[in-house]
Amino acid sequence: MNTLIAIVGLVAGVPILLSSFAEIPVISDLAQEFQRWGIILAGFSTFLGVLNLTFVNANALRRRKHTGQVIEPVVVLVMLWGLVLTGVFFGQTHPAYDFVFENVLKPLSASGFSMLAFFIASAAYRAFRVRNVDAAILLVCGCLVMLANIPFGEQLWSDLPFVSDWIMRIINGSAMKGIVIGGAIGAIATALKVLVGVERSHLRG
Amino acid sequence: MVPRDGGIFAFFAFLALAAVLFWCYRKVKGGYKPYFRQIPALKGLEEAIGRAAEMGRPVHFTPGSDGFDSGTAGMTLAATICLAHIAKLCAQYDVRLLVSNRRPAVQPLTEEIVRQAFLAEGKLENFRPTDIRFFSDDQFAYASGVVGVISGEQTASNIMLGGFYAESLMFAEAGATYGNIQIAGTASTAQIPFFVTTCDYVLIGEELFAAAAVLSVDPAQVSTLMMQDIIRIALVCLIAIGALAATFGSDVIRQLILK
Repeated sequence: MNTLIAIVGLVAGVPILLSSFAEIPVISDLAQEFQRWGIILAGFSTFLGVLNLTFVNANALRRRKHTGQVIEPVVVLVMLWGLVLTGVFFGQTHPAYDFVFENVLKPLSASGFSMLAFFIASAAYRAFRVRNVDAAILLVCGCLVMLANIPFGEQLWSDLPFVSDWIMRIINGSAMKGIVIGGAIGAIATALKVLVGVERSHLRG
Repeated sequence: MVPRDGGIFAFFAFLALAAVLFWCYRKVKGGYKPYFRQIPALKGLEEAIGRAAEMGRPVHFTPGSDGFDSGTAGMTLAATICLAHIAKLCAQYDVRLLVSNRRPAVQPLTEEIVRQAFLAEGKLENFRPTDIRFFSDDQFAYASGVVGVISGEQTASNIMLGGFYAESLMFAEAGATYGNIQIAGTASTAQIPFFVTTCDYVLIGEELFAAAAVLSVDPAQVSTLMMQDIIRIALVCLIAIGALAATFGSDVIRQLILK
């Protein structure tokens, strides 16, 4: 079975790989067709995801130890299936669908994003405690970059923006580029391993 | 046949890559043992799962925000390869493994990986399909779900491997708040600093991709690590030559790459 999956991966992967090098009519058409199949498979997996969400919350409802544990799974199930049924029977332009999207999903997402400010403050506090030389360098560089980004930073020291730019562009930039190049080589090697069937641990556990 | 921009160079670079891989494979198969430095995060995996076993609490794993349909699919793939090893360790130590997914396409794959790992260890009765959870395609709905799992299930260890975005810090901070041993791995450069400040062990950049090969004794896996090192040296040489050429006013390397 695993060999069959590896062969399917190779057959589907090679045309997509070749079509990224050159526009070859037959190969490019084949690659597009495989990508379309990928979209169809993703559609099926979304349905599986919805089923999983339903089972997990139905299970939580069944195993509840006190009434307080009822609220969360009930809200998830009602919102999930309410929106699915509204979308299927009345379309995505139905006012109820829009209402939930505009008045529930958007504000919740914005709240989630805004909470990051507090998480950053807490992580910065942990990172900036001077425990060793590395942490001390991080603290000094972090303070210089932060000071340069506030309105009166330049008034404290006129060269601060230059120093901050040098830290970000030269020191930080070169380290990040090294990570990006290493990551790209690693991604290519992983893709190559999967394509030729060397890597199969994700198929058999 | 019309070559795409940079397509000719990319094609020959790919052929060179395959040739180097083949050469490395032959060398490793012939008995050559290349030196690889230890990755502390991989030792940390056993520590994290062992601690969860001692405490009788679950391990949480998430393969990140990316699926298999983006340019960062390699990270998701590397995360799922590592999941196979993590699930095997969890099955051996009788530890409950909770997996949180954002992309629906990753959900059935992670479920099957964990099931197969438990089956291989003869512990299928310990596998619960509802422990492999899909939350939402929406970034912060998924983030809330993960934070909810870490706090609600009182996890002992939190393992985050794959591609992450702004939610990375929420996960790591939640794990730190609840005293989890945390292991993270990503090649998303914007998220590495967050993980470094909040996690006990971090797989930085290519370490995530190398992890699977390091965990293996298979010559084919080891040869890919060797190939990565050779390609890296070749790229550094190419960058140095390009920089020298540009200093003397020549863009020959740039033109070569754009072919």
